[in-house]
Amino acid sequence: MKHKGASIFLRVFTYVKNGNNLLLFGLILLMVDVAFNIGIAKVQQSFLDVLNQGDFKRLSFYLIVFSICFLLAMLLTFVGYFFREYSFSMLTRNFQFDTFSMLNKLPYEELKGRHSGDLISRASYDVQDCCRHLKDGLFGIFENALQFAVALTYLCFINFPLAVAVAITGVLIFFCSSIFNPKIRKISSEIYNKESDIKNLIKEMAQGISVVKAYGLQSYFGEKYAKYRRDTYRLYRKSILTNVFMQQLLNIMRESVWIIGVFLICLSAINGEMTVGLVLTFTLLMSQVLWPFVIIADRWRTLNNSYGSAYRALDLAAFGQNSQSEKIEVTNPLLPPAEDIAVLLRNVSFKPDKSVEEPLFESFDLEIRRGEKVAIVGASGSGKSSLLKLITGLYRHDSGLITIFDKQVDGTSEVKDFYSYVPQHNYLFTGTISENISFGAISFDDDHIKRAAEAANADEFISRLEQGYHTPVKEGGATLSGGQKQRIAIARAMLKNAPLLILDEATSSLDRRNAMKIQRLLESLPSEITCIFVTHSPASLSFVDRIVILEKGRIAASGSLEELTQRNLLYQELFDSAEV
Amino acid sequence: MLKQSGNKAGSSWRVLTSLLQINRKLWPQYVFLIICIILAAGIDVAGTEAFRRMISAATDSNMGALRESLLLAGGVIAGTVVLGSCASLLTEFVNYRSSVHLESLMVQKLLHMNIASHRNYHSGDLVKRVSDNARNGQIALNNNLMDGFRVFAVIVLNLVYLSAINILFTVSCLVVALLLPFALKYLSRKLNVIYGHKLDAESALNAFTQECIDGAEVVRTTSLGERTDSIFHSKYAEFMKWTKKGIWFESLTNQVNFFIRIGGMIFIIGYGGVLVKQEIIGVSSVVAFILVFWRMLNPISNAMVMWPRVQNSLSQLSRALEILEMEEERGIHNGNEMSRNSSEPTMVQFSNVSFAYSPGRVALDTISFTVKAGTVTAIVGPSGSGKSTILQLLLGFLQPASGEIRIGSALQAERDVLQWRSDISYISQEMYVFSGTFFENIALGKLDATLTEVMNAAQKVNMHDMIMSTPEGYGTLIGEGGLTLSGGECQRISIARALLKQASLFVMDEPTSALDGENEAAIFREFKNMIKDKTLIIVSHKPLRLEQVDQYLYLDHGQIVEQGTYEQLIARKGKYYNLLNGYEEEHDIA
Repeated sequence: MKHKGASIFLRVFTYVKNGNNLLLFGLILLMVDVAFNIGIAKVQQSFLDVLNQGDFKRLSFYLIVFSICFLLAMLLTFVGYFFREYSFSMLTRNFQFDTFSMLNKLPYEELKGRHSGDLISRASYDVQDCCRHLKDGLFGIFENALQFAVALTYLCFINFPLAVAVAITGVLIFFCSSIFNPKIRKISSEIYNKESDIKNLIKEMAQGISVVKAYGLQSYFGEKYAKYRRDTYRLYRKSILTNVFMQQLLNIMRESVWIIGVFLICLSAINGEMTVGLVLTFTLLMSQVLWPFVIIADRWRTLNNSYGSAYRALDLAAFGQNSQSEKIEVTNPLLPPAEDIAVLLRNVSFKPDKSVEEPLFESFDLEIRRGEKVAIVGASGSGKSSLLKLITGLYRHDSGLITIFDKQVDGTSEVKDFYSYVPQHNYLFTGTISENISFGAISFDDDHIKRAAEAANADEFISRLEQGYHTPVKEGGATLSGGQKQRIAIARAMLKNAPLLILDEATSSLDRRNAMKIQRLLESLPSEITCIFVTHSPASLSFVDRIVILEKGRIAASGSLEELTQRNLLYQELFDSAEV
Repeated sequence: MLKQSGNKAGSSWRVLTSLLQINRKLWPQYVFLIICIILAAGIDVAGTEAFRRMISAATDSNMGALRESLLLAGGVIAGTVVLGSCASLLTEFVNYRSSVHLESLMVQKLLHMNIASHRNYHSGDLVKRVSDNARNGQIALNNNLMDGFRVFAVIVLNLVYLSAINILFTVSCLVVALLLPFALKYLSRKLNVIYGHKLDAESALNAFTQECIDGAEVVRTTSLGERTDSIFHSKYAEFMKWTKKGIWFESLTNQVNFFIRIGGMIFIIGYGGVLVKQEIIGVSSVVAFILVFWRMLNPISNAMVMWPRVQNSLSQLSRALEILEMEEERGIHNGNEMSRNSSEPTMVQFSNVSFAYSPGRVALDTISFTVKAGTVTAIVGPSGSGKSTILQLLLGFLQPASGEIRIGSALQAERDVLQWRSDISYISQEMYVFSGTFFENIALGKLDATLTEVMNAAQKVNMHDMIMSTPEGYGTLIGEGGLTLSGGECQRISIARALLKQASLFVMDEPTSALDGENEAAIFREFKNMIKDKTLIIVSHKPLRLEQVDQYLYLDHGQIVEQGTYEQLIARKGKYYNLLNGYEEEHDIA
């Protein structure tokens, strides 16, 4: 366990990167702190000796020399502190950059299967937590270990057997505290889990407030929260008792040794083996030998407590990497590249929920030619949205082959340049409208943005806004209507100008006027642009080349509007399915 | 709104006093804790005295005095352990109780605050204020304040002890010690501002992380993370800027502390030397002074590090208290049992209702309409026409600027808002599903519902079979971390919840936006059957043409421009007709 913990911290430590030199200087300057702490004991002894001798000229000389040394030490410790802290905030930054970008590389399905509160705490709170603890732990242990070594050596010169006895007690205190560590760690991880449940509850309350209020659920949620808190109270009580017991045990050991030590030195002073000045030095140094161990034990505990958060943060980073490398089983050999095929699905199997036996798609085949406009229809649960998510690579198929313009869809980068995707639930980021439209585009200027917005019929309402394209968008686009959000999302896709356009119910949240405009936009798409969209509006089928009717993960029928109308399949599908 | 306003250093006391008020119930524990701390400091001085006696016994070679002082030291250790245990236990207890108390007050506030004020905050920011700032801030404040008492007691008691040796020397030592607060005043103010900025930058970072999770689909299909990374990096630069400033000033604070520590020691030896030379005090007294001064140095330097921390925790807590000061909805908060209204259909009436989100941004302009008991009214209109505002007013989320809203004979302005809402079954557009089981989610509509009632509701919305096909049936977890449901399924859950509520009025927000492949007319017929002859108000951006709708209201720019039955509106050939016609034409082509 300890070894694993160490290797985990070592991994965190690699994030220090360019802050390496700063950190090293900071550590070296920590020696100034130590030297000064130890030197103080010696300095006081010399001052007392001079005082005892009544040599006041030498006293003032000593005072001046010491003051100069002191000012120098002050300067050095100032710089040292700054270096240490700054190098660690750089480490935190690098670590957080990494977890953040891993978070965005986490496969979509994986992301959806997790609590977003958990992900956020891994990506930010845990990172900061473990870095702070690592910093405190590392510097605390380094400084105190050094101080211990120097003080002990000095002490040995004064009275060897007593010095060894004090050192042994220090070690005993250290081991005693490490006995309690696993127990404390266990309770704190239980507390952590409970606390994150509570955090999630609060988050849902905040986000679902309109439902909570409309149903008068205030007291229901209030009581749910209170119940969770009663559970944590029990855990906290256990944790507090263990902690206090341990602390007091250490206290007794430390204080007894200190008092007995002083008693023994005084005894030897009475026997004439020591002077009073040396008694003072010895007691000062003794506390410096005993104290570091208590502090080291404490810092060790801090390190152990932060082990959990370091692990959670690194786990997130590691998870992103693992799932990237997971290969999709390709059952068919790659087909020779076909010039006119835009999207190809061959023998694709996909299970949306890995615990369910029945796959949604099994040996699914679909080919879409370049420039073809294809509508996908079907009842809910037929797999329309899942199909689009498989094509875009949001969902990872279990086996088979999916290609877009002959590039395999396997979560790699290049495929994404070939399509624009407008999801069913649009999401806007905090920022301006213009930033939202350009989100994801590589090169663009204001003119491009305006043209894309015009194409998506968004320019009309954006221009009417007071700040136009620079109007700030609040969380999730709260200030905009569903239709406006949708049009911005479509503008985003337009700006990307990819050869394949994929829309998932693009017009579902638009009013008729706007839906028709989007409809016209789709109709007037250049012929070389391939377009796939899911719809349930019969009106939007008028211009498509092909309609694919999905039924429980297989293609029930496929053909042009005329063909399907003749076969009387389409209306049955669109209308009758709902007549429950 | 998110920005902290005013001079935070000045508001620190205000924050502190309101927190004391909040924690009234814990005052006895706090007082007992403070007593423990003061006694412990007294024991500490006794320890110094024991040490001094040991040394004087050593110099006098007095074996008997040494044994006596050993006994005294033993007593000191016993006292330290007993008082130390009491203090630690009490501290932890008080920390947990006070922080959880503040958090639960905030949870209550969160549940009861006006939706209008709720919207001023990013929900991630709200959550951080409630669960992070409130708890951690309160714990940090407790610890720092108790440390403050400890420091105060140690300093006072030690000064009394020193005064017994030489008053003038003690006073001059005190003057040296008093240099600390002066140096601190400037630095702490600076640090306070920096910490505030740092917290704001940090919550901006977390809000963005939350957005990247919520907008995962967009992030994954539009860019490869370079763009999100670069936004994150630029936001982090702001955070880093304040971190760096913070380190700078923390370091400066530490140095001031260091300077006073060692400078004070030089002063004692120098001044003590002069006193020794004048034979006012002996060398042993200087030793005692140095010893006690060293004993006091740690508390003083702790005070140095502690004061910026108090400021930090207060600035965290002021973020929490900002929420506690939000206006609450009128009505009862403790969920007292209220009389349930009959579930008989009732009429709804808006008379001359106006509403503006902000001056000049009029959302509704003197709207009047009546929905007769047991009838269906559809409110249609383009996005931004004020449809949702009507809904929010009806639910009491917003209060009208003028005019009256009635359900049956009850006037909204006169009724308790919770009671008012108990008349309404609301089916939200977002169809919020909470983490929990199917059963829990549906039973939110009627908290004392039995499994049979829940099953009946699920059967009515055709979810029963689907639910039974999941591994644990009604006990299957859904929502975040559980089974993922489709939009249509979420809506059905939300309708089942509304059905279970048995209210007299149903309100449906954009009923068809989440449904796919299903004819809205069919869905609607089904829904109308479920609710039987209840009053129903539907808000939709589509020109719903449904046989069951008795009355249409066409809204545009905050006004009802057309009103009537389907036939009337068609005959009028106005906006509704045009909208519907556009729709019809396309429908025919299809």
